[in-house]
Amino acid sequence: MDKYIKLNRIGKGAYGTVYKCKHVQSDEVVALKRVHLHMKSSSDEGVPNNIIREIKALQEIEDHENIVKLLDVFPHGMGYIFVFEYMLSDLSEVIRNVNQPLTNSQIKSYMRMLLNGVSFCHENRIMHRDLKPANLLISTTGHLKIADFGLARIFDKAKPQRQYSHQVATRWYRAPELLYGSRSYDEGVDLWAVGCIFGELINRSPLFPGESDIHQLCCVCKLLGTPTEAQWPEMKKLPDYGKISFDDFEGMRFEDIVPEACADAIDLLKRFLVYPSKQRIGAQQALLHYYFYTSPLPCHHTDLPLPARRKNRHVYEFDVKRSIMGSIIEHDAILSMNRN
Amino acid sequence: MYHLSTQYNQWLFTVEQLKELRTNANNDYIRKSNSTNCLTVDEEAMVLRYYELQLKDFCEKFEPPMTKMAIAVCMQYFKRFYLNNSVMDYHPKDIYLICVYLTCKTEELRISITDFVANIKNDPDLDIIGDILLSYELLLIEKLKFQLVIHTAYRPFEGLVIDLKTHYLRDNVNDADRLRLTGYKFLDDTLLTDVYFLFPPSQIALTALLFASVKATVQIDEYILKHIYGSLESVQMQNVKETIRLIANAVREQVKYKKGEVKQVVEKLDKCYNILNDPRSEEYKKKRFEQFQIITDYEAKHLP
Repeated sequence: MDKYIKLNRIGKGAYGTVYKCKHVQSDEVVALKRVHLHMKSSSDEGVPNNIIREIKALQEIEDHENIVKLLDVFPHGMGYIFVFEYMLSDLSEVIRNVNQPLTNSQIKSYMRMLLNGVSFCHENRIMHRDLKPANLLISTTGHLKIADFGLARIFDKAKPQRQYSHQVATRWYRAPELLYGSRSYDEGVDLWAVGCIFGELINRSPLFPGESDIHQLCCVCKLLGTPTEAQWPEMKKLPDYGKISFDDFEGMRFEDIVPEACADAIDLLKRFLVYPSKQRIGAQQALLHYYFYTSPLPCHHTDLPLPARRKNRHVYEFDVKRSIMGSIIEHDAILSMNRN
Repeated sequence: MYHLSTQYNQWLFTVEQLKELRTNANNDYIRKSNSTNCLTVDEEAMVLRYYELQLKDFCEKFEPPMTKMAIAVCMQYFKRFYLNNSVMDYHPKDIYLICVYLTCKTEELRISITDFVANIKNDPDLDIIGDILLSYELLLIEKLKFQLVIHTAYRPFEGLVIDLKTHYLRDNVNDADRLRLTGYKFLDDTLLTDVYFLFPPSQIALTALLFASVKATVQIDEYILKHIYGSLESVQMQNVKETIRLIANAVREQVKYKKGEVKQVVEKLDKCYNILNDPRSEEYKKKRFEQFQIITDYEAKHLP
C-alpha cells in the first residue's frame, strides 16, 4: 500500500471503493480497487464469490488491448487491493455527452473494440455476464476496455446443462432467457448485451429501458414482437415461462427502432437481438460482418472522443459556505440506498 | 488455453526445482524458529502425504459430493501452498480444510460455511473451526499467488475417450466405458504425485488412456498410431513417449511410508509448529490485533 499515493476517490461499488493513485516509483497513474471483507453480509462466508471469480478470470487473461489490465493484486488488512490501469471514463459517459454525438465511424470503432474483447473472453471460455456501457471503460488513448469481471464465469462447452444464477446482468442488458429465469444459459447472454449496447450507441438512449423485470420483457416484446413458439421453441421450457403472458405485439421494424442506422448496421443489430441464444451471431463472426468493411470505415482510436476528466462525484466536505443539510447528509449512503 | 495459463507459466517446474523449493521452505522456517527439534525435508514430505490422504478421504466423503475435477483442484491448491511454505509454519490440519472450502467457491459448489463445517468430524474445536478456517482464507489465496485456475487431466481425458468412441470404437461403446473407468482410477492415483507440477494435463490424460488400454485389455494401438502419433514428427513422438514413461513411473513408484513412523513425525510436528500462525493461540490473536490496529490507523490517515 505504501507503494502508492492516493490522488482521489473515483467511485464506490458494491464490494469496494476505487481510488485513483500514483505508483511512487514509476509515477504511473493507476486505479486501486479496494475490496473490503469485513462487511456484515459477507464476513461469515469469507471472500465473496464475486471476488473469487474476478481474481480467477483476470489472472488467466493475458494482455489484451480491449480488456482492462490487472497490474497487481495484494492483500491489505482484511481484504485485497486490485491494481488496474487507470481509465479516464466509460462508455455510458461517452453516450451521455450530448455535446459530441458519435459519428457512424466512431460507433463502428467502439463496436469493433467491444467485439474484440468479447470474442477474446469467449474463446477463453469466460462469459462476462454483466456487459453494459458503464463497464466498458475508455482509456486515455480512447481505447475501449471491458472491465468488472465480478460476474464472469468460466463456462464449460462440454456440459451446457450446468446451472447458473439467472439474477445476473443489469436489467436493461439482460437477455430474454434470463428474464424468463433460465439457469442454463450460455455466452449468448453477452451477445444480447452487445446488441443492446450497439442500439444504444446509435440511438444515444437505451433500447429497452425496463423499470422492472416484467416491464423489461414487455419492452423487448414491444420492439421485437412477442416471441412465437416457432421463433423460439426453447421458450416453453424456461422456468418462468407461463407465469407472465404478454399481448401479441407485432414488434416494430428495425428501421423504426434505430431510425438513424444504415442498412448494414441494422443487419448486424438484427443478428444480435434474436430470441434463441444459439442463433445470435458469435463475436468473432460479427467482426467479419460487412458492416465493419463498408464506408465509413471504423475510425482510428485517436479520432475517438476523449471525455472530459471524470467529475469528482463524491466530494463532500464540511464547508462554511455549504448549507447545513448539504454538509451533514452523507451523499454516498443515500446513493447506495437508492441503488439497492 | 493451457499454454496461456498461469499453470503453464508459473507452476511448471523440473524435479530439481521442486526439490529446491521445498528445501528452501524448510530451511527458511528452521532459520527463523527457536525450536531445536525441527522436521527435516523428508519428514515434511511424510507429514504432507499423511494430510494429502486425509484431504482425499475428506473430499470423497464430502456432502454434497465433489466432482473428481474439484478434488484434483483442491489437492493441487494444497500442494502449491506447501511448495513455498513449511508444514511447521502453517499446520496442514487447517490448511487442507481451507483448501477444500476455497475449492467449493472456485469450482462453484455453493455451500455455506455452516454446511461445510458439518462435514468435519472429530475436531476438538468444532464450534469455532469455521472462524479458524476463514481466518486462513486470505492467506491461502495470497500464497496461491491469486492464481486459482487449475487445469486437470480429467477434461482432456474425457476428450480422448469421446474421440476414440467416434473414430475407432464406434461399435464397442462398452469397451470405451471400461477404458474410462480404468483411466479415471489412474488419474485419481496421479493426484498424490507431483505430475501436475511437471507435465501438461493433456499428456497425463494420454498416459491414463494408454494405461487403461493395457489394464482393461482394449486394443487401441491403431487409434493411437493414427490419431495421436500420426500428426507428430519423430522427435516429438520420442518426447511424448518419454513423457508418458515418466508419468507412468511417477504414479507407480510412489513412496510408501510406514504408519507408525508417520504417526511419530506428525506428533513431532505438533511440538515444533509455529504457534504464532495458529488462530487458536493467544499469541496469534495478539498479533492479529496489532496488525489490525496498524491498518486502521493507516487508513484513518490516508483513505478518507
